[in-house]
Amino acid sequence: MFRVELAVRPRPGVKDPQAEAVQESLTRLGHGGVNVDAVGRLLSLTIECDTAEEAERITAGLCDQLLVNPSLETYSVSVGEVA
Amino acid sequence: MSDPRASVIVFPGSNGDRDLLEALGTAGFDPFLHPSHRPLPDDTALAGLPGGFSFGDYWRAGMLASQEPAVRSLAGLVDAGGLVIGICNGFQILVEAGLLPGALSYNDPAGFRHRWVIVRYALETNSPWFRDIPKGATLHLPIAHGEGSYFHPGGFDAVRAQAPLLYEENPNGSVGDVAALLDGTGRVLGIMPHPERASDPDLGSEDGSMLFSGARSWVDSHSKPLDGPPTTVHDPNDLRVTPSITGGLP
Repeated sequence: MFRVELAVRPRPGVKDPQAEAVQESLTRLGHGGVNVDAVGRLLSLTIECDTAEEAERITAGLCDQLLVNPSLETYSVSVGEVA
Repeated sequence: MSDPRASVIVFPGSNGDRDLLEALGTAGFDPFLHPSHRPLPDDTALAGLPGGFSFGDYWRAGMLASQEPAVRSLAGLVDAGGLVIGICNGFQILVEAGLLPGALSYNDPAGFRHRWVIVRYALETNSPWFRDIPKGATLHLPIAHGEGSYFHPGGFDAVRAQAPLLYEENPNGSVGDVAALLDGTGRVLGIMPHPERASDPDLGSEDGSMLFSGARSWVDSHSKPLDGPPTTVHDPNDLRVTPSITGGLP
């Protein structure tokens, strides 16, 4: 069993109005040195399989099939074994 | 001959279904509400995907709704010569389902926009949806959305020939001012403004009714009478959700 954390974020070059809106709020709070680079989404999964590679492969399939819109988004995956 | 059947697909979170039902009925269709968890009835001539927040817009607007059985049966309806309109959230669902190209994302600048806009009919097309609208005409329609910015990786040139309506003043950052999109057949229309909310003089505009009347007259001139009774009996009590006509109206 593996725990997978899938992070989806806007593809570089694609407008990210959410990040701009959060940036405005943080700047208004006085955090002028903080840059909001992207606003995305996180999906936490547990997958029943034997290896981390298999968990990554299954997750990539989910992304291709439904979870990521390749026109707008990219994703990264972190995998850890559940004790 | 009886009026053609128009299926208004109701998703959990739809809120424009009753408005669309009304507009289609006024145009001369025999409209009914259809639950999204069932494939469309065989006698459907037109399917409408209404505005709202299907499945709460969770993860990505329209994504979860795009996997519903009613949506997965739309390709069969189109292959059989049927018509499809997706309005606002319905447009997002059609894009997520792959029936229309590109993507719809957060408005730029960010924020929910609800107001009247003017869109221009800028395309030479034989689409049934536009047969009552003269080229170059402008339509006065309301918008109400937070994720209506149209994007295509190929830019506007990739969809110019499929974009019948363009915003006169772009409210959401859509590439090329795109307000609506047709598929290759011209029978599938996704539109971000709400024609069903501009289909009666009491609403402030009836420009939207031209889309529905065009579709209605096209069905008359292109469809053949059904050979027998409808093959699917529709039970209106089968809806998983209670359609709402109150509250916010995205």
